[in-house]
Amino acid sequence: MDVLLPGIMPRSEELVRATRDFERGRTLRRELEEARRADAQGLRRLQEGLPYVSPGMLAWGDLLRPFAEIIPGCTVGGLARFFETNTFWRTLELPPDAAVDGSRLDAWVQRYFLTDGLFKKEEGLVFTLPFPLVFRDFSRGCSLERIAELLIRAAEPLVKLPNKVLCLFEPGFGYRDFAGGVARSARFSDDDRRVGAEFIARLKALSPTPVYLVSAFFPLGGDLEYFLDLPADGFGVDLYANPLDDFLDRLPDGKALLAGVLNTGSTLVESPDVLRGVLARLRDGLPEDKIHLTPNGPAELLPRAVLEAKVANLRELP
Amino acid sequence: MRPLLTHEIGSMAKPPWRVKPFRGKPLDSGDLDHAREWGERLGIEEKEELLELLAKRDGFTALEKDRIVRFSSLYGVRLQERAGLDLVWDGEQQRVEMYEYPIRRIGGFAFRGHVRSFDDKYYRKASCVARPTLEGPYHTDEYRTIASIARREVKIPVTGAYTLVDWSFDEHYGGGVAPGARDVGKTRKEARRRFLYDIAEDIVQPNLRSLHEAGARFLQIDEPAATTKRDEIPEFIEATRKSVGDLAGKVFFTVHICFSNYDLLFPRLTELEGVLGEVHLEYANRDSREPGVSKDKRTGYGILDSLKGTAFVVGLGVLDVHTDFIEPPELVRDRILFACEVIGDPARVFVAPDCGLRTRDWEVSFAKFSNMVAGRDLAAQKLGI
Repeated sequence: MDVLLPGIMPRSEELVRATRDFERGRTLRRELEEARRADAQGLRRLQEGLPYVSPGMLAWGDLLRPFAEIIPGCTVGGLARFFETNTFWRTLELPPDAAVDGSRLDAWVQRYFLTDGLFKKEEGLVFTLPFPLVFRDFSRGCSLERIAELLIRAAEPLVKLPNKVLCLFEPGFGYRDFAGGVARSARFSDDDRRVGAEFIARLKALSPTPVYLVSAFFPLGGDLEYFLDLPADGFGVDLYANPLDDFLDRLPDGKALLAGVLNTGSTLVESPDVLRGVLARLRDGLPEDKIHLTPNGPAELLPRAVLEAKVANLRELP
Repeated sequence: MRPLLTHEIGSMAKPPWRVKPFRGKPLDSGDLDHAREWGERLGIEEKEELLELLAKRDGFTALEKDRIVRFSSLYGVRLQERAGLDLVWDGEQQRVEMYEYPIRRIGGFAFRGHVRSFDDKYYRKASCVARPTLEGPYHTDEYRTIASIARREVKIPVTGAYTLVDWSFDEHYGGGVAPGARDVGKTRKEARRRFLYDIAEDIVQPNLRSLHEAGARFLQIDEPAATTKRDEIPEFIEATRKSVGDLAGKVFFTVHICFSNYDLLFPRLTELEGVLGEVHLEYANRDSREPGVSKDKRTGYGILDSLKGTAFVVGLGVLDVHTDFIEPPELVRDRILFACEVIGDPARVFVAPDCGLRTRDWEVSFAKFSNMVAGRDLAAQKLGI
């Protein structure tokens, strides 16, 4: 069992203040970058001793924004609500023939994944990328197939680094088209499902890096079968929206479970008793090395101090 | 009430001479010029008194800051009156904003830190740590101040229960939710309902009642979060019903919702007929800027079809609050005429901006308001009313 923190981490109050000061012309970019590095160091301390450390993704505007820097012709568009949260992502406007400019990838990986050298290529790190379906939800101009190509190209240098895990974030599982409060239809077409499956298979063919598919927010319901049928090495599930039994009974052999036990929708720090209880159930059903304890959704929905308290509690589990 | 009544929706920018003293920053000559010039434009009789107060420039006492806020309120009201609005208020001059201001005045909440809204924009988010309590109504003094200033009918916005809950964390009601439990979804939903209905009954309702007792006849319930969670529309409706309570029919209630998927509101919203008088939505942001009254020109107003068969007055957003583009009166006119055509009765159409204009400076806001009223007059002329 270990603790894994996929996705964008919340910024500390100090970094929020530094960002605001920079926006208002009260500090220099250099000072903002220093604050960001200090913040990433704090995250490293929080995760000290974990096999895979999250670099925090503190420079990311949202999970799609940095892609605008490696796709020529891509522009950052308007705001769109990020599922059922009060967070908004920017929609990417893509040219129909969008492609990743390979010459920009090294610098991109350095900045957005290794925090400008603060994290080393060889150390154990968890990287997070959007799954093609959520990328499509928050972009315009490209087919799902082309989006998958973009993501494969961007992921290639990441999964080829040693000692990494890659999390693919997809909150769309279990999300339905609603009208008048009534769920009308499943969200993903057969083509979507095919492209999603092929995408993961191709990623896995690139390297032995474990690839985990991480859901959030919604009861998986009718998408559960498809979700668990995808060729990922492990599955992240929101245990504040789904009963654990759904997964203990149905998780394919050899797959890992990223158990979303830290509630990013609540500032209440989970009690050690509650966490011990769920961990005991996990250990009853899964081998120790297939259990990863994680937040149940994007950690950046929490204030930083709260996340730190939650993670500290989690790390005290035997 | 007159057909095509005009009103503001929420906030306006605060003038620099209102903002700086609270940030501990000294006023400069430009700030004093702002107070002087707008005082002249708006015909503020007490302008010299304000200038005398501001001449100190720095180190204002608490009492002096209170006076500055009151002047800011006066300027805000006069700006709307001078633009010709029928219903006025001060554009949030006495509040920080619509979330932090009420939460700081409700017992049972603790601020937990900043969370991102978008880009590098963060807001301070609170958590409910005990059953919320109201020490005293937090908008009534504000209403009394504005009512004492205003020369026209006053409308006061109140942040609604659903938005207060949805923008907060909950450590109190949802404390018993265990991850992975068989009934985890049900437990969470029940906790959410209790949180929401307590806020509606114990916080929002007493505020609305107090405002009514103080003489307010027009109250606006702000619910920008109403459609955030698609399966909670019934809870939003019930919370609104509980918030209004037995004041239905005694006060004209508007609900304001913006930048959302309005389809989710229908058909359940009609359950609030008789509770709410007006449903105000944002439209102009989604609309073309071309004049005309055809459907292909008025692309932002499609949801009117869903409101047509209801008993609600339609609060029609005709000004895009996220741009400095000043809508010409003719464009405003055409938006109104289109709505009147769809709704079938001008008495069921009120005219307003999409949302609060706090991100626009006063020059832009005043021009937009003025053109909104001019556009309304053109529409009324065309309709012969």
